[in-house]
Amino acid sequence: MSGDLTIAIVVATALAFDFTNGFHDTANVVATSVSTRALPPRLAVILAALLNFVGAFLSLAVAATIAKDIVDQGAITPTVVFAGLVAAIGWNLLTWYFGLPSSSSHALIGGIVGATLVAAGSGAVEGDGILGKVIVPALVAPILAFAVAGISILVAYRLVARLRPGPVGRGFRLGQLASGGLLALAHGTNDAQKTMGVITLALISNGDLPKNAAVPTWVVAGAASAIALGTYMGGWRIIRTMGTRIIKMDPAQGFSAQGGGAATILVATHFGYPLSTTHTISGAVMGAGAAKRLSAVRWGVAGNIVVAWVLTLPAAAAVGALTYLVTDLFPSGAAGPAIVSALMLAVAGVLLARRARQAPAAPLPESS
Amino acid sequence: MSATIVDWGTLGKVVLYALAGGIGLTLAFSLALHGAVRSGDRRRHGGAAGRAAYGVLAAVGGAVCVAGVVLGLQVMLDK
Repeated sequence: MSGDLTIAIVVATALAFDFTNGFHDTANVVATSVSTRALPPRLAVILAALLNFVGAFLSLAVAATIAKDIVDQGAITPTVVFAGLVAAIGWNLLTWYFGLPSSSSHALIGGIVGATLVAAGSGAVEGDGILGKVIVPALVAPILAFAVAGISILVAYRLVARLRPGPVGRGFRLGQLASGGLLALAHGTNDAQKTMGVITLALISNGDLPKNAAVPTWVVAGAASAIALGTYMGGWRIIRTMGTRIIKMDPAQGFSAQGGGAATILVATHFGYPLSTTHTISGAVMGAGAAKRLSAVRWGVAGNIVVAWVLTLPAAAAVGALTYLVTDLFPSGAAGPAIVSALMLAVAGVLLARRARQAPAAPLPESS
Repeated sequence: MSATIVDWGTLGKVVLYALAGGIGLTLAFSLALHGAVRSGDRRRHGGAAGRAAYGVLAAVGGAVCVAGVVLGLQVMLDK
């Protein structure tokens, strides 16, 4: 009974994490289409939410990586998974409050690793899997997306240079319906699978699923719904703040950035690499901007991303370890997660209220 | 050590396929756009042969785009 309650809290926390992931990332997915006027904001948000939902059903390779290649399935407990999730949500909330860019994916993996370290020791952490499937791909993906989008825009400008700008702009805007759709699919498939992997890991650790079990269909549907709902809800805030924070680019750049980002994420997803979709999309947008004019790129953002790469994994691991130690203080299985959840909700409420008082249109965090 | 921990072969495939997919999509779409705009210009200013040739370019470019997207999604669904 206690185990069932614990697992219910873990699943609810994982879905909450997935919702916040979609909520934060709406800007990444729709900003390019909206800035080039390829789509009106409202329609862009609705389409992004629908395609995030569909995208979550496309593949399970990333979910398998999260469930099998980060930590030893046999050595962890639902409390470890819970601590990892709380660390990811807490770290995201903290970085959002202080306006620092952060990756939800890296925070989640860092949180799980930190909690596993204190719960089961370093032997339970799959160091090879983390280096080979998380850290190296995390470095490669944004650079790859930068290169793909940069070369793409040079090719596009070369081919349409002598054409009348009116029909070219309209053509690329039309093309953005497809490239923007692919980007939303890519985002849904890579990010929702991280939650699927974590829930599967928790179910295995609680004995509800055998070791190396496939992701249950209800987990796929739940994660798909949570990220789609988060994307949809996050969109209304984006629409309100769109006028001041939008990225300026022409339709050809928008098409190239979306195509480059989508191609990188979809291919990496197929091979089971859990990427930071925010970093990848940011890399693609910077690539499309840099190819036209180096000064068009916000290099400060690039610097912040590098800092986030270095900082997020160890910081989230530390928060995950601390959360596990606090949760484990309570002798009853479900009491720790229930009390920590209540504390986290209270802290989140205070931070949200303070932020709302300070700046009604606060910048969105960069996540995922 | 990293040579055995990091699967460079698979990572290389990611790089290759992403470059081919992303740049190929933009190349095909730009060619389709080039063909469509030039074909429209020829229609207004005469030149039936050029119009037909640019029309074919637009159709082929568009078909390659659609085929690329369908192929990509098919690969994703191949679990």
